[in-house]
Amino acid sequence: MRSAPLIRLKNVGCRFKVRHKMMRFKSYEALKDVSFTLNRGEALGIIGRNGAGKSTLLKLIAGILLPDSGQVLLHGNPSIALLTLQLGFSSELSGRYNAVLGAMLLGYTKKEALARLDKIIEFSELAQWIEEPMKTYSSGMKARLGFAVAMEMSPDVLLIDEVLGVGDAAFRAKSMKAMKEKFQAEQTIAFVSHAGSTVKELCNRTVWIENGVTKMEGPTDEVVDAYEEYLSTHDRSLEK
Amino acid sequence: MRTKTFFDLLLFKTEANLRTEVSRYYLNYLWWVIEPVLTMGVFYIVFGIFMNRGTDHFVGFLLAGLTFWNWFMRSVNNASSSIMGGQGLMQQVAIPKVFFPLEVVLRDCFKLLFSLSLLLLFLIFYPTPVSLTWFALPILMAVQFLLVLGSATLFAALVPFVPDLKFIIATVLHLMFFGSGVFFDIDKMVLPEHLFIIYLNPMAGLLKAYRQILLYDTWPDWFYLVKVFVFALLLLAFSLWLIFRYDHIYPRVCQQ
Repeated sequence: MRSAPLIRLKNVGCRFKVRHKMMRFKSYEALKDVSFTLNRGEALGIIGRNGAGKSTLLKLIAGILLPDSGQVLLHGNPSIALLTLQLGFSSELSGRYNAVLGAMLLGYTKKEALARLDKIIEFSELAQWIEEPMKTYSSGMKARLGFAVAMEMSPDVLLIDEVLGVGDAAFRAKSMKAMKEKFQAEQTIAFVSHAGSTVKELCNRTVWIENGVTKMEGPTDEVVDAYEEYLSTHDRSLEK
Repeated sequence: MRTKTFFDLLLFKTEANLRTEVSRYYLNYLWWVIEPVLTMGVFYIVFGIFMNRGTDHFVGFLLAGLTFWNWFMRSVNNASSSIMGGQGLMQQVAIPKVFFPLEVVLRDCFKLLFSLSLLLLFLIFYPTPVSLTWFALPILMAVQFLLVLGSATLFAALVPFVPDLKFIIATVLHLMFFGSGVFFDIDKMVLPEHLFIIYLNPMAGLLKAYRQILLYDTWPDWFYLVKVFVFALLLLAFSLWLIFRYDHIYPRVCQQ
């Protein structure tokens, strides 16, 4: 079942309207024409420069936004969640409370969340800090908790928006390892980044989005090389 | 999102927000009691002492009206900005947007429990009779709950499209406050030919009914309550339809 398509995007476009003065609106196209397939159990990289429409793309896959044109087709009824490290965090409440909240926001019931709470706390390495309100946490600690929740409570499809670089070096190594395990296991993942190197390390297939259009789709090495090649020529042309 | 998750999350988030609200203050949970006492105190000083026209049992009359009016006003007010306030969450999770007004309404219901307990406690010691008609209280509250839920959801659904509506809502609530007879007896103050119009406002009739059952040992006008019930039900159905219809539009609209 490894290569069965799970999510298919067909000529997806997404426009945003922005209000300027009084009743006047300007619209811009975040995505124009994007098509690709996410297969069951694969780790798909999505690369593109800042503003290429990557985050919008993840929101469309997660069902947060609906496309203006084209279709997002789901096969079966997979649970999909966007991994964000600050999910629903309430700074006045304890880390324990926020972990449960975060797990529920990923689509789990309270019972399921509580059942895995110990593992989450263990992974986060927060120990007794877990009972303290989150406003006392360092940003690294917050990110660790968010990451731990996401790793323990992953849905059928995990959408990741460049979040590596969490916490200190030791935790970063641990999270990278956990990510790699996820990526190699049956977990279906769409991983968004503007950096070719991380995508190369984690994903077997990659889609390159440029100006809201699918520029290339294929094996990671080929796509990333073409992307980096394009970037360097593009940067050079900008310098001139 | 699964239904079970939705409701688990609703209760959990309500609890979390309640805790967050009070955690900022030194007196913490005590504010759930102190705040309604202070509000009632202000109204008592203004209308019970300075503007007292010698009406019988005016304080009881005032507090009964105020408690249930505040429930309505706060929920509608808070809910009207709830979807905009939920922006952070809705940009990250595909969550039915009805979540936000529901959460606000639940939170306000919880706070109502305190002011309601205070009111009932006060009325037990007040010279007006504690009578069998008190049993109608849950029925009245159920009707008002539907009305609160319907209005709150309606405004929550509309305000993101036209944020300017907030000012209109504030004005309408102001008008309703004066038109609901919180601090005066409508039947005595308003011209008989205008009573019909006044009682088109369901809160006016509800407040009257609350006073009848809690203060005057009188059963309420059941037919009027049925009308309010049906109206609230229709309003709720329409609001829910609206908020589900535009469910996927809100994350975009809120970004504008």
